[in-house]
Amino acid sequence: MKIPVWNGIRKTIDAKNRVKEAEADYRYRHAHYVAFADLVQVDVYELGQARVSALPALEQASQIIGKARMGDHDNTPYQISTNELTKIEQQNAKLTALAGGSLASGLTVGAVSAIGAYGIAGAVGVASTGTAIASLSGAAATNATLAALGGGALAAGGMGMAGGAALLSGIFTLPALAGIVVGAEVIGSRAEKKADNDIANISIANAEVDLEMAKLKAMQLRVRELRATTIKLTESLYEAMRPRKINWFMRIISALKRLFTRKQAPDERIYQIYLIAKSLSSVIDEPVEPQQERA
Amino acid sequence: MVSQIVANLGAAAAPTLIQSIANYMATVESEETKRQEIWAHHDAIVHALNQERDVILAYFNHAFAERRLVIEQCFDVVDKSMHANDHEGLSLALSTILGVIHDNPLKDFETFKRRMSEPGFEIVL
Repeated sequence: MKIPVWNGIRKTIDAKNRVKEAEADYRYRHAHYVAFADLVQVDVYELGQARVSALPALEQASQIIGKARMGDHDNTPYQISTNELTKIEQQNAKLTALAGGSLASGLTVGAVSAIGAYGIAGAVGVASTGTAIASLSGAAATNATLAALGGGALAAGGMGMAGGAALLSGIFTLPALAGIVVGAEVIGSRAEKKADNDIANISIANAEVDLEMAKLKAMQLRVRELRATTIKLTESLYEAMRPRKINWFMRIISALKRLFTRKQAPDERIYQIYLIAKSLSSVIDEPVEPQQERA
Repeated sequence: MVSQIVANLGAAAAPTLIQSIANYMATVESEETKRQEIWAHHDAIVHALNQERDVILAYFNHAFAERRLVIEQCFDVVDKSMHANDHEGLSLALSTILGVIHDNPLKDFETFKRRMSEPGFEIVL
């Protein structure tokens, strides 16, 4: 059997409990999001490491190309642009500026992450959901409703104070009794509505967290793509720079070619190094997110 | 206790009782309508957010998998061209890799938002 007054109180308490459960669910999801953001931060750090690890290869490449004393060779099939060469040589300085220190003296985790995070607009790891749980209007409001029911003014029913006083004194006049019953039921009904509002807001916040997570996953894929490409190009560059055995016949042919053409044409190996170094330098320059212009 | 309450009932109290019940009924009905509005609003927002999330996950997983395949194939060409001293092949493969890298799929976030708001928007993967 339902006792009218307690039915209203029960509704209010149930409403509060439903909101608490929804809040707990939100906190769980948000913690999951923050943990995932930390994983992406590790990917960003590893991208920074790959970029820093590419610098010695680029430096070595620019030395090899420089020793070949080449400039722009418009009339040769192997055109090496001095501008591109300068860009490759400046890569070290660029990353040093990003890291905020000297690469030679060793880098902190933060500095390497900063290099990896080049081109990321916001800080990864900071949840940016549109609705903060503290701003949800309902939790505080429900508490206030309960507080009111527990001894404060029952403003909603208009007879709350009178009803409460009647309850305490044991004088049961009809208006007072109606006030108690109606007041409790109205408060219960309003508490349910408030709880629905809170739970709906929390549910929207959950969906926003899920959406942010999807965006973060997309960014993670991009970071991993840049890292894998940087590493592979660095390996290719080292492979191109690896000394190769050239037989005496090819050496003579190459020397004669240089002698008779009188052009400082780069040999094929140097040109390979140049092409790969140029590409590696360009990939290092590539921002993670598109909104920043390439340096 | 109940009999004591009933004994206290008087004809003068009846209108107050009726008025209280009428107020109560009106309030409950009004609150119920508001609750339905809250959930209708909630459903519309959550549906849009979930749809955007699903499209992002499907599109970017597909896009990056496709890009990875292209890049891997290009690196195969890079390796072969290096060993064969094929500069044209090397240059072409590296240009393709750079083309893929420079074409950042993350720029599509804003396009998605705009397109998804259009009626009848479909994505073909």
